[in-house]
Amino acid sequence: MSINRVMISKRSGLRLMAALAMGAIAAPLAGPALAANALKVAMILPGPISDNDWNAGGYAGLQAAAKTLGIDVAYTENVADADAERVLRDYASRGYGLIFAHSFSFGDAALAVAADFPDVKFMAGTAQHLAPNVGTYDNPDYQGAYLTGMLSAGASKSGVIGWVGGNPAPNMLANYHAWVAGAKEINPKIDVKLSWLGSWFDPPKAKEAAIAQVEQGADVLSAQSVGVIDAAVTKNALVIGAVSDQNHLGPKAVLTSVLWDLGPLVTDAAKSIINNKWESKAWSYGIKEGSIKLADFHGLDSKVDPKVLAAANAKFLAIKDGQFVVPHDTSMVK
Amino acid sequence: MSTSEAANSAPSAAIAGSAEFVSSLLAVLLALGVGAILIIAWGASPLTAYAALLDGAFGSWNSLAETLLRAIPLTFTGLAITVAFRAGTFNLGAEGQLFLGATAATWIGLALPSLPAPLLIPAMIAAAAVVGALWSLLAGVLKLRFGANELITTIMLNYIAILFVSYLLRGPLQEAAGYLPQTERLAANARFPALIAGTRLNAGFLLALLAVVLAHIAFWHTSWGFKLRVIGLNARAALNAGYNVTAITLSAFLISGVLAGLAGYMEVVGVQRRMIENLSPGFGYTGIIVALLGQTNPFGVLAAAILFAGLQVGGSTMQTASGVPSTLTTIIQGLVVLFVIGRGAVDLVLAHRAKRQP
Repeated sequence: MSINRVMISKRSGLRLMAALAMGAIAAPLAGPALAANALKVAMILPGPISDNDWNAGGYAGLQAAAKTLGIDVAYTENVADADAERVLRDYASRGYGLIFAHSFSFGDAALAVAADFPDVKFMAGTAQHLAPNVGTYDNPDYQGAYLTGMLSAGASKSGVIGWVGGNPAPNMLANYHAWVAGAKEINPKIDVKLSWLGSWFDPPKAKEAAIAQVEQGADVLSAQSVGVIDAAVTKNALVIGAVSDQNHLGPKAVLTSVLWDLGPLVTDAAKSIINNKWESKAWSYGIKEGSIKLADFHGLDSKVDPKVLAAANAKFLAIKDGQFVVPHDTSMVK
Repeated sequence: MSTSEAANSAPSAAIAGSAEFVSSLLAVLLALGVGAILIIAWGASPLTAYAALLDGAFGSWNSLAETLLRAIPLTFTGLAITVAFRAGTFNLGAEGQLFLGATAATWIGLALPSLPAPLLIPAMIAAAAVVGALWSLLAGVLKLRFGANELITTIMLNYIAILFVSYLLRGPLQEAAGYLPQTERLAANARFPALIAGTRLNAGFLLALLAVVLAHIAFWHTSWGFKLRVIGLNARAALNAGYNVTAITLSAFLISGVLAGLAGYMEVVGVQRRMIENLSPGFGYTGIIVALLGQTNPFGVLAAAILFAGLQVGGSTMQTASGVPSTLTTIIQGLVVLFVIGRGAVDLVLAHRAKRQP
């Protein structure tokens, strides 16, 4: 290589560095003025999008909206509660018009950022409060939980079933209460074990808690946290999956899963902004809207009393028709 | 950093200081270089990724503010570890001291909500400092009285502290709504004013700068600092010189705990506005590499804190813009440590060769 070429590449390297430095210096001046016209949607998630669960559901909903509407989307996974406000601010200051804070524990952060960015709309997952530019949405999987509660009681031989979840947030409490109510409709004497992990994503702890429940006699579990299915496979128990069809995680253990399709909700929320029809409200897309369903049994329906199976199917149709309303109970249990 | 390196810095601080600066800079550049190779292996362009990283860390008022905001607790924990290290001890317990300090400050803030800010803020700072210091003192006493290795005790005390805080946040200190393990929100008079309007950067950053300057003065312009450094380099010599080694070592533990407790206080009043369970994403541990990269020099610590804060803040932007996982920045942080430590290894190999071939 000639000396000349080295010189040139060194010089262009310097230029590049200078350009980068200039960019860093100049960018603050340009900043928020560059707000784009086309709507960009972002989502921040508390865990990995590969969890086959709450986070995977959020991510799939975001991608579905991107496909349907042809809009730009972005996401950040594994956001700790302590970091939520920073990441939300980052998206808000970068011209994203709709930002999903996909965790109950991000509600505070969303409200704080929303106050500083009145033109940006926020959707805070199952948040407690609304603001003019903050709406909330939930996962009304409690409707499905009532059905799986019936199935769990119908499949349990010991009369003991167990529920493992993250934190006692309202949506989790609703799921738990509906599951218990469904189980009690089939077997009023059923004994339900309950464990809170104190964390939204802690697979080893979830597995430990689930194994402890099996050792206390539970033979059907509800996996509201990643790690429970693993325990059910280890201990030969049946388990109810959540959000996506989780049968592939335990083909002989996962009886069925409560499916949650967030796509229609994300799509409709984005559309409401594009059409200037945004309003701050609590969005809830459940069995009626086709967002909550039960997954295939993959042959495990033989484990459930046929009478209970028929009753659960009838109940699904009754909920869809509006003849039966699943009780929404969020009272605290610890 | 080895002790022989530190010893070199004593006779001619200016020359050794610049050598240390070059060594740290080289470590960062090498880490970024290896990071670039990893980005290529991932199938992305390092240029795009690093440009996004830079943009995310310093590219707008908001990201600059976020980077400096995150540098606040890192500066305090970095200084905490620096003080202990200069005295020849290791404080791996900054994380636990941070949690306890933050909880104590929040408790005072919530217990005395009607106190005016000029009284409330010092009361909260004092609570964080005292509780952090006492927790650190425990490890100090265990070491000096019973010879317990502080590498082990400080780490173990972290678990006790963090789990105790978890208990408090689910029990006596939990918010009334009771859904999440966190306290009520602090009143506005307990918080700091913003430094850049519309961002979260607050007056806490000025306190971090003040702490850096005070630490510099204490190390290099007081007899306490001189004795501390002598003890760190050779405790036996210090003993023979008639220094009160026990008292000075204990004071290092105390001050280290104060600084770590203040890191927690800063996070509570400046960022979260309440105590939450997962307050710190490992500031106490990142503080160790901040101290290491900063060559246990207060101004170096500040620079390293801003660098690591920038890496962490820019990481998520890099992920959105280029698809490179933000965990790459964690790898880069690890590589920086390896290269800082590895420089000593290069010297060793060179010295060994020189011996063999005279």
